[in-house]
Amino acid sequence: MIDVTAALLIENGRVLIARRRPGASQAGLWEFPGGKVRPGESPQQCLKREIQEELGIRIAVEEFFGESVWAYEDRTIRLLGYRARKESGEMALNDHAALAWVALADLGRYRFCPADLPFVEKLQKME
Amino acid sequence: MSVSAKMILSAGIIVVRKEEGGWQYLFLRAFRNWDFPKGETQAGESPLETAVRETREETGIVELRFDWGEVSRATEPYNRGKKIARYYLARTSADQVVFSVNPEIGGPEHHEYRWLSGAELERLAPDRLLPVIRWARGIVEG
Repeated sequence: MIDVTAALLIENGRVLIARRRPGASQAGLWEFPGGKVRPGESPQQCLKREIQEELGIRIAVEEFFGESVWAYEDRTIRLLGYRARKESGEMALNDHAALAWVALADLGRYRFCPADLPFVEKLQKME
Repeated sequence: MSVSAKMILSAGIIVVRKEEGGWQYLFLRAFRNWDFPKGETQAGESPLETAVRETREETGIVELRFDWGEVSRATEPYNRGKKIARYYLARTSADQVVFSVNPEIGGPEHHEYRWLSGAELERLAPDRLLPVIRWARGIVEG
């Protein structure tokens, strides 16, 4: 099982989601940005690094949001979600096809990777 | 009203194909839920007719051979005892699945399909399907 982190950046009732680029696994589906935890790295360190790489911003990692296990065809992942807050930087699109700040009530309009769906449901209940 | 009249009955097909490495079972995913092609029976339709129609609508597969006869097995009641699903067993040589738009939801009903070995199938399946899957494996692989 591979540990992967995901950031739930929520500002003014909207959450940041990212669309996976063509050619990637799960291309075209939306996800909460993040990435694979490296050996010796904590999930929080991983998330700060991945968000810096993928989105070009610095974040503060806040409380644990939830966990989701999903068996993709080639690997099983454990997705670890954390609330996060932007500290500095301008948003860039280094690894995704698109970004969106989505009102929690509108999350149902986007097609998410199955691993991310429990987080979508939890956010919809917060709305 | 009798208990059975209140039940929602679905019918579907466990579609299998023979590959060099062994038997493969067709499994469909909607959001995080894995199931075989299936749907609710309509008035005037036998469960087998429902199962064939739903399989065609959900996968595009029309070539179905009931090599083991018209055998079927139903799940225990699920969804707070309101639903029962009956599954038939058929073989195909098709390997391509086509998801078409379901007019009621404005898009395909499913998001992914996989051809799986019996062991992989049991790993992904919800508990309510395990007795049905073991029944099918016993017939197909036994």
